[in-house]
Amino acid sequence: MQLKDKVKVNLSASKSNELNSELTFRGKLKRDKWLLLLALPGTLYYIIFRYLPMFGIIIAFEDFDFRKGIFGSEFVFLDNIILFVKNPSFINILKNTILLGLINVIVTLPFAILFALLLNELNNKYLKGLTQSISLMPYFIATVVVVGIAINLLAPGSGLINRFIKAFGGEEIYFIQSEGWFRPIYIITEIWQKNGWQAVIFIAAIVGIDPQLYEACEIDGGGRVRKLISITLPSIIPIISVMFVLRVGQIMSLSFEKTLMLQNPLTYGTSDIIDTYIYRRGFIYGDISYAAAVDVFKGTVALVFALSTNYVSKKLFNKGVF
Amino acid sequence: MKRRNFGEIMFQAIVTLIAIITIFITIYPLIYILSVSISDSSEIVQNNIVLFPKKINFDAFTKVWSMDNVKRGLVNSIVYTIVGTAINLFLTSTLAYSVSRKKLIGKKLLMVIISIPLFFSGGLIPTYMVVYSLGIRDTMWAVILPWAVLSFYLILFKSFFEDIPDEMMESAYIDGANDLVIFFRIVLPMSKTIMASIGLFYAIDNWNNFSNALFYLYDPDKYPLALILRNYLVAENESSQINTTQGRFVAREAIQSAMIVISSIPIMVLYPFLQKYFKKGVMLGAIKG
Repeated sequence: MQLKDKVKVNLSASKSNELNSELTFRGKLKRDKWLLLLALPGTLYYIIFRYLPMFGIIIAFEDFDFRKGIFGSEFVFLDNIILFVKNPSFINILKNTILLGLINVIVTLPFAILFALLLNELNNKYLKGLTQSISLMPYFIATVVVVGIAINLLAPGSGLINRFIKAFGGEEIYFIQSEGWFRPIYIITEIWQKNGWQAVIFIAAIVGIDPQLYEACEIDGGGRVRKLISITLPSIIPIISVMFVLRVGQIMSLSFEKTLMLQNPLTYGTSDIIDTYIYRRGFIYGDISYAAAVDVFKGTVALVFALSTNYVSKKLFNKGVF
Repeated sequence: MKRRNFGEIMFQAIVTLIAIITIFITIYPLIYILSVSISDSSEIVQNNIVLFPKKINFDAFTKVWSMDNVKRGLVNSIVYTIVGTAINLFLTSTLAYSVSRKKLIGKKLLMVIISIPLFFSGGLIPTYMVVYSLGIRDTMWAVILPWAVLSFYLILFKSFFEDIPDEMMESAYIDGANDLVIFFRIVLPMSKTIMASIGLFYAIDNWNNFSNALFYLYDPDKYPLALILRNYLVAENESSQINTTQGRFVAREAIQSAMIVISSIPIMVLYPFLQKYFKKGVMLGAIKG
């Protein structure tokens, strides 16, 4: 009873006198104390594991030494970043990351759309449900398992694919050891694993199309193909554009686990991306400051991608993430 | 209404064929791996396995089960998944509930705190420095905590809580309940479905991911199964001739496959449940997120 009254008093107080902010603020604070207590653990998590690292970026501008600590290490300003940009592998790594990200979006998106259209055209309800259920399954399989299966299938000698190639009189291919095969393997496993999941949003969009449109088309004598071209496709083009823009905004977030497992020094020419480079320099070689500088570089590029695609999305579709 | 002309039938036939091929491509690798894992090694090394297992035996599983690190990894994975998921759900749901209340003081600030990490992150090395400074390297907490709350799931939770009518809270206030009591006694029991679905997603992530363990754990006894599997897969030159069980040779491919099967069993068992929640979750995210 009392609390409820207090709430009411506070609400009316804040409405009647917005200038009287001190009292209102304290009143609100008192009113919301339990809610704030509930928010505390999660907020602490964000501060410690998401925001402290943002400030920890300082070490990218230092010659970091574990014995001296963050505050004792020598400040070198942009030296680490300059070192990275001047590194001969810089162009290669940046190119690999952006190219793999872009190819990934450009290739996987049409597959998802085609799959959604395919399901829509299936008359058999049972087969439709089965196809969708099965297509969603690989999404839950661990990356390490997906790569494990791929390595197994592609292995020279015993691998199934090489056995087929040999059976048809071809030369054995050392897939995992060849630079040219890294991107196709990455993308194909990506499609195998995530196609069903990426199609869900398009399937939902197709289901949402007004059935009257199709009926009208039928009355006008339109067949399957006409319906597909004149109704289904135009109806889902907005969602396709939004998904495309959103995914281009995230092209820097490639799967670290998958890339790390699929790559080896022979294929760094195509397979070395920023994430694996940071891991190698920071964790294997122990160049903490240098790796942190690469982190800063990556974070900045990713931010630019995210903000600019968000801007485009807002301009074009009146719909942004924030 | 349906016109049953020839073109229509052909079209349906082609579409059906493509659907069946898609199903086949999706499940074939899984069946193949399962077949290799239960086939006799003599058949495997002669490259006789194409789809179905031959001379079925469980030597590979016996062998894998005799590897101490696999057993330890399995136990570690189970512990990390259970503890991790409990922490994920606790941190995510409490914060999400708070920010779902319209009147909450500082709500905007909290939403900014939650949203910025969607666009910018400190990165791997600075996160490592935080883990290092907290002194939790080489403990289970280093595996669990760095990704304890995912903003996407938090937003799903928030949308769900926002749909709970305010009148319900109001009447609870009148009965003298505070927000803490309301959350644990009224809201949580109402949220079993979303708790189960987001919990399943977190659990899958916890079970599947190995990168935190790779970054922060040094003691191999603490490795989760995923990392042990990864190390086994990338270790090229591990001698395959010593892989014997009861004096019988076990092919490396069979052992790999058996490990893959073992680490995928929990997912496959959970899949029917997952699938139900999965679609709901994606829809919710698509519409509200």
